[in-house]
Amino acid sequence: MSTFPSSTIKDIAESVGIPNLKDDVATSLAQDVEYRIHEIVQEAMKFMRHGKRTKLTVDDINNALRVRNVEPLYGFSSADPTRFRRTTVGSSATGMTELFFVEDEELDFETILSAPLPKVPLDVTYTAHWLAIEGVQPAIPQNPTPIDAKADLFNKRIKLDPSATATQPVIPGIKPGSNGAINNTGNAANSQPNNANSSNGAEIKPLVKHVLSKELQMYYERIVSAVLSQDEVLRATGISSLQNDPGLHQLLPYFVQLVAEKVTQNTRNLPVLESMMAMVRAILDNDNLFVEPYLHQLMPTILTCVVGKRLGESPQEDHWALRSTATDILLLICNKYGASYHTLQPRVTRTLLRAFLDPEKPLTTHYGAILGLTRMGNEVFKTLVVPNLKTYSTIIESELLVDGQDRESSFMEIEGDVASTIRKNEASHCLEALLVGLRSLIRSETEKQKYAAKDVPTAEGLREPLTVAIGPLLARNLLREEATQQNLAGVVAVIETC
Amino acid sequence: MPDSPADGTAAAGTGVNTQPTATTQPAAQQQQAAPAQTPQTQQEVDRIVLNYLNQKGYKQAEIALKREANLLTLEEQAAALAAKDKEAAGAATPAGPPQPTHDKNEMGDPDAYDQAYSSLRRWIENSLDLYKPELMSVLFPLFLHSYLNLVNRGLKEQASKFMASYKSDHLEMHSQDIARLSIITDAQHIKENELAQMYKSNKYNLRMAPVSFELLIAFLQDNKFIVLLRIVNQHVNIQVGAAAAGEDEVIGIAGHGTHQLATFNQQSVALGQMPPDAAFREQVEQTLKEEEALAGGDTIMNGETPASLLEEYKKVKTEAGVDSPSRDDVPLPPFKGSDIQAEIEALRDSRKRVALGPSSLPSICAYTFHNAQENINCVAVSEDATMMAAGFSESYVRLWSLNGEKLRGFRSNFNPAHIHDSNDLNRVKEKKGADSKKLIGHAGPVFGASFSPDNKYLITCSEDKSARLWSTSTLTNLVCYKGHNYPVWDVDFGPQGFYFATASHDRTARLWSCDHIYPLRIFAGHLSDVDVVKFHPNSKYVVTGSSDKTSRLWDVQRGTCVRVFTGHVGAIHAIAMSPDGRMMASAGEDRSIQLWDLGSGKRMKKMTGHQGTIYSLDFSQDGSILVSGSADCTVRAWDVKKEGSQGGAGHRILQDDREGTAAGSANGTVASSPVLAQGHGQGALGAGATAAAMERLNRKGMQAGPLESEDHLATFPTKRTPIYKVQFTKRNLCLAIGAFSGN
Repeated sequence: MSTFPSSTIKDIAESVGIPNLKDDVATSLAQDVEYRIHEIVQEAMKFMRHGKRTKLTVDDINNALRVRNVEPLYGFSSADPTRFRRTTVGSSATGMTELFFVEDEELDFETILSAPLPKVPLDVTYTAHWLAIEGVQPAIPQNPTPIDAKADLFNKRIKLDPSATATQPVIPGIKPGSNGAINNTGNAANSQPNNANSSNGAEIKPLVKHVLSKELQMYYERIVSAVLSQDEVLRATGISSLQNDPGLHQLLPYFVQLVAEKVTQNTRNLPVLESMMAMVRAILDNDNLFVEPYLHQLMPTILTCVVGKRLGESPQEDHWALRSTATDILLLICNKYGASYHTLQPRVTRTLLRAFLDPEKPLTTHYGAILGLTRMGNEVFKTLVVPNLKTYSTIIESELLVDGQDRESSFMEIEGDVASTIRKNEASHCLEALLVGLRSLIRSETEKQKYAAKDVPTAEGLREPLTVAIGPLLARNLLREEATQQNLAGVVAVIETC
Repeated sequence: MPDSPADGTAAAGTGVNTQPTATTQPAAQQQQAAPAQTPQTQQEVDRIVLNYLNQKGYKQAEIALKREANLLTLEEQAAALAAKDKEAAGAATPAGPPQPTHDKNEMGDPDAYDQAYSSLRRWIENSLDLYKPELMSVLFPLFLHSYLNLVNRGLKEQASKFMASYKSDHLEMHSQDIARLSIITDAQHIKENELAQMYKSNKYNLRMAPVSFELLIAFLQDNKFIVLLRIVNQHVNIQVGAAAAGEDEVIGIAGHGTHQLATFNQQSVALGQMPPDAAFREQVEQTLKEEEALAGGDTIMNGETPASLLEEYKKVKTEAGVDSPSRDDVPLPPFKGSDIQAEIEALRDSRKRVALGPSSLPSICAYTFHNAQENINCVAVSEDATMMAAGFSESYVRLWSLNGEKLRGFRSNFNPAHIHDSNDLNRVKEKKGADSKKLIGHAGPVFGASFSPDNKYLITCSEDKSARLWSTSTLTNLVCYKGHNYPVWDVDFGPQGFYFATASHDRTARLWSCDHIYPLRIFAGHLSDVDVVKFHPNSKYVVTGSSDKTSRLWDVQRGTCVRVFTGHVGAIHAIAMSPDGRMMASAGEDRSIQLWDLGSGKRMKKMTGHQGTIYSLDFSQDGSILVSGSADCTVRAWDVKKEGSQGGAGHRILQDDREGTAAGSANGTVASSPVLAQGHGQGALGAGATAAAMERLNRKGMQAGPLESEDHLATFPTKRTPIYKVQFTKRNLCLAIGAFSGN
């Protein structure tokens, strides 16, 4: 009957050097131990309640021991909750028993002494807010949203009453008479939907283990190895399978997880990144997959591939193509899901713009950002990028110029030379990307103004204002092109936006 | 000797034992024949010798022999018990004749009852809270039958002594029966007395969990309290196991209301307002008159005449009503000028008070502590909401100023000898001050804090067994009150200041005045920790809530308990009294709030809805709305006036049904937890079985808890902030304070 079997007592006795404890002694000791433990826990609970806590702490137990005039337990109090580990003892013959124990780490005094002092804990502060104004809870950040609160309360209710849906109780006093019985069941029927209604919307999802069939598991493994393989054919097959096969929805979370993992682990490995982007593309292209719930997981990885500081082993590698692919995917997502998530595109745009406007960021990041913003459409480019062009062009210009000087003077060492070449390369890529954007913008602006009869100034006449507007570097490059010559009206529009 | 053999046999015969005492039964049955014989003859001899010595008056020898005989009998008592069991089982009764002789010897000792009963009582007193209520319930039948047996034996002196010393245990629950039985002093009376006969001829029904029952029997057997065991066998019917849902259960004797708490709760109480001191009244009126004369011109200019404060004051402070306590009951120090100002200020506040009701709910301002969830044990806010204090588990108290005024303590170096007046005192104060100050002095976690009504003092109590008085102007510790033997859980300043009450783990509450370092009154009676204490608005009473699931109303002047409120099924942690002093609300671990009528001691209604321990309660200033704060991170408002679930009987059944159904198999938990089941019996308020059954129903409904009762007005959830304290200001603004618990 005792919670503490007498065998436990015997074990303990043995551990303190009493080999053969008599059975009756052990039994009566076990009873006493149970009583004592009950007593201590009862007292400790009082301390817990008065501490307005819902978890019993070691300090509570120690306080309880002190109240009972027992030496407190030393060495257990700690800010962190004690973690119990589980193990099983005994052979299969005697039956396995589960055993819980607190892990006792070995600590080295050296490390403790040399460790830096812990941070000073944050000071206790208070804030005041209106929980209710004349009985109405204002919608301020300090108050939970009504939906949250409802769901929260409901969860608690479920926890409290774990078997709410089980058999209904027999109510005395209502039993006699069929009338009463009907009443009873009627009430029961009424009250249960009530209970459910009170949670409206807050759907309770049972914690079901996600079971994957063997076939799916095998398929998953195959696809992963195929997509990551060196073999071009195999990879293409894998991707096309992802793109077209129905019935993959169960694997979707795993794929998404895989992409996220691989991208974060392999930012230096260009082929892997490319495969992953291909995979994302394939997932998005598959009409049978419902990707929406996973977008929040996918976006960061894609953005990494767009504006990552350094992608691939060496800067010389062709990471530009990867950035371009990733930008395409980004755009695809924005177009496909922008309608249902209004904040999606603005958020992406904001991230890119921030990357673009930060001069501290490397040119590779700038390139990705420019690429993204360019492809977002002319309107975005016009309003967000063009006004900043002048400032930005100076950065590129300086990079390009420095290179030239360096080469002439050739004071720099070989490595420096290589580095500067890379930087120059990067800068020219940025420049190219900007020009692409400008060209497209100018073309569209010209289209727009075709019907508006307006004086078209000469190219020479525009040179001056354009230089002022977007900086000499860009102006020079722009006016050099023939296409620009034909679309001077667009150039005017660009100047106007600045 | 009056203890006739017939009595013994008859009793043993009728004592049809329904209880499973007989874990030892089969073995005992076999042993019974052999060992029972020889010692019984030994007993016979002893008895004869004893009688002889008694007649000759050889007292010393008699006692010696008695002791010796007792020792001898120890071994065969078990056998005797087994024999009794065997008889009870309905077997033939060959052991009949020797049985009474043995018992007679045991029972011949007039002190046996006293000794057995008192040690059982002590043992129960020290048992776990978990089992205590169940074990306590067996004390009354044992007490009653011990007394009747003593009387029956003609031991008048012992009987009256026994009655006198243990009567007080049962006065609350069984005052009527005790009054009627204590006049019985003769065996003849017993035969004639209906009540005594009823107790003798009927079995007293009880319900116990298997563990409690085993503990009780083991204790009685280990200590060889054969006298008590006999009573248990003969007169008590203990049903072991959990209460089966739906079974009508009778505690005590069917058809006889054994629980007579209602009678105890009929003691007169004076719940009216404390009449103001005549001189004080005069002064206040005088001041008001002067002020009005000054303001007279203005009001004419404004063109509207607000009702004069003076008239209002006269209306509020009526002469002593019928049930007002006299001022002499609670002597207070003479009033000061600041008291008059405070009184007038209070009057003004009451004028600006927002009218609250079910249709106009209060505004609630929430103060949320950060970085302190594990550490803050209690919070208190001054009545005018200018200061807030929190008690920490790290033994210190922290004081915050809420109105932006800096708290200025003393500089660290000054010579007290140079301080002569308040100007000097101001000079040695810190120049800048701070928004918050730590008050250091306690040597253990601080569990309670309360501001004096004039905001000049703060009283705190701690695990270190002491209470400390702090000055809020000098920010220093003034007095340390030591008296409790165990951690002090709660402290409350009286509504007039000067007095305060503490509640402690030592099962007492104590009344103190600020100028004495020892307690003035000790309120003892609770069976477990006193967790919360609150003054009645008229200062004449104190209400305590305890882990023994009851709350009690104590008369401050007499130091006695005048009301017991039973009905909760968990420890009580929060108590609030309506400002008019007629109602009391209590709540705690069982998540329900119960509203009591202090005058009648009856429960008015029960309010359910909270899903965590309730930490704090407060009435609005007009007493129409009750607000509660709980561990479930919500503040809830309740309609005080609305008829609760205890209205008409039909209504009540419906209500129960609803709650019960919602409970689902929560009943299962009730059934498997015997303590709760027992709580039913303990708490039965009304007399009679129906009331008890109804009560139980309510209880079950409440176990299910979650559904809000009809008088629930609103829930205000917070973001993971358990609410430690709710409090209404004088103008009916509700403050709710808690510590953010993070993720």
